[in-house]
Amino acid sequence: MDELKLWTAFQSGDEDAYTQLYKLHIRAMYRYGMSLVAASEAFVLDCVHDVFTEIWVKRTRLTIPTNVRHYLLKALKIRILHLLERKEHPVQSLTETDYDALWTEPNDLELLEELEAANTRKERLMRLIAQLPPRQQEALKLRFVENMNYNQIGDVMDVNHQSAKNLVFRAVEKLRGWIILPSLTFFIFFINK
Amino acid sequence: MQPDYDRFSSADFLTDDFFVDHQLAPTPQSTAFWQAWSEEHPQEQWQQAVSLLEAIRLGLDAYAQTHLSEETIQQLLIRIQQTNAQSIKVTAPVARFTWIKWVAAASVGLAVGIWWLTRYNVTPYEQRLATLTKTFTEKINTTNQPQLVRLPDQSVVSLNPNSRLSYPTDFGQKNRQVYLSGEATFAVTKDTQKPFLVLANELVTKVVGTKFRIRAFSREEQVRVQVLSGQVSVYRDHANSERVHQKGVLLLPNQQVVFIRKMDRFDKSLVEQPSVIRPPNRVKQSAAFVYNETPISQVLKEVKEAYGIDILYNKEALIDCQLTSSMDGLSFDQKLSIICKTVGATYDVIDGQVVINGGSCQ
Repeated sequence: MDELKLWTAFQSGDEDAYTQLYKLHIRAMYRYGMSLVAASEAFVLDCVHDVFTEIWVKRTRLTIPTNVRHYLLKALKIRILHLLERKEHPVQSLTETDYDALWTEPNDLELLEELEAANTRKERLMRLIAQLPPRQQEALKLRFVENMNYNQIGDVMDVNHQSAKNLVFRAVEKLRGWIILPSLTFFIFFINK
Repeated sequence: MQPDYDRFSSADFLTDDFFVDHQLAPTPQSTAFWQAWSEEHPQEQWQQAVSLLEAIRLGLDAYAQTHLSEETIQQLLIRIQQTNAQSIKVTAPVARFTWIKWVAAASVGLAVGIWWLTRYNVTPYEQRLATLTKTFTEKINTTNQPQLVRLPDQSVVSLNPNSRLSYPTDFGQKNRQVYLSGEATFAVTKDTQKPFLVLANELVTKVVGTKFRIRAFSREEQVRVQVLSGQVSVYRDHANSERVHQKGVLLLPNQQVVFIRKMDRFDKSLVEQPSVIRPPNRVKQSAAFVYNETPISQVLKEVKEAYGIDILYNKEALIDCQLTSSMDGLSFDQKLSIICKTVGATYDVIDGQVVINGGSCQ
């Protein structure tokens, strides 16, 4: 299933190819959209709708992307940000630098509480990842779930290649630090299950 | 050129594409490489990196498996396809002339017509007319001046250039329904038994007796409905369901709604130049909108009633405020500006209402 073939077919008006592209990426777009905004499912689906209808209208004028998923996720993010900016009521804006500055590092006690609330190792790890700054979480997801490279990640997150790499690097280091914290209780929790 | 893997920390490994790619999708070459490498070099960081990667993937698993039902996927797809169907342009030769010829043939071959419609994706106006089983009258304005059309119930429509209006021959028997493509201003006679419905693009505008303006060109992205007097409700037309009262927008005079077609969204606001719909009733025959140490609450009440626009403000904060001003002849916005300057407040228009923020007079 060559995506580039699907894309060129869609560009010449092939509705089946267009539908296939939709089916290939809808889940990824949905989960990415939902992870960006604490908003309703309806809002995210509206934005997905807007992205797909827009590329259909513009299909003859599009360039061929090197990675379709990257292209679509980026388009989705742009659409989400655009609509949030237009609403009259102040919504927590996703301007990246503000958000990071507000993020406070969880202390040991908070971490311990998070871990105690979890029932499985999987859930513990999930909670630890959720303790990271949002941008780092986003970078992890784009790298290890959407399998994008650092150029593409940088493009979606509006930073350069190196900064994208740094986000992942810092996230990994932080997680490693938390996972092997020199606290006896931690060890017991972590090794036992 | 190979990075210096033996100096790598676990975090370095995890940001190295070659390492990560091998962990996620090993190839014979990468396997051979890493096998050889690990035999010759200290493994602690590498091992840690492998476990860390596994842990991260596990922690992200819930995200990766985020559930989206097949049904939702399918429904969204249909919505997308419908939007795409409407966005295809109708070129000039197809639009008017061939359509009229086709209408003549409609009574002979309705089935053919419907095939033609789905094939060429015509405008909502044409689609609706095609599915009508009764005969109808159509008025097309090909001039560059507005044209007046008088409907069987004595309602008058001022049809703008490049616009079309149709109504069935049984108009006024059970209800009063017209179809609009383009822009027109309506002055509708009052008849509570038979609501007047205008179908334009995806909207239905329902009135009892009133004056309003609708702008619905098929190529435009928005549909605009403005109310001049009376009251109008506007809602999305759903082809398959009964046109029972849907969730829509109720418009009062001086309000307008802009329907953004692609996003299926209503934006309610005030018209650009609100006009006085009910001149203030002054007991003492004094001139309207002239104030002399008049309490602000009274001023706002008068403005509100004159324009029919709701004005919200903090009554306690402005309780001591007075206004001395002659505002007769000023526009709505100018009046509001003066009031706000006097009390030190600002105002916003939200959803067709005015909200006054702040202000006090101590």
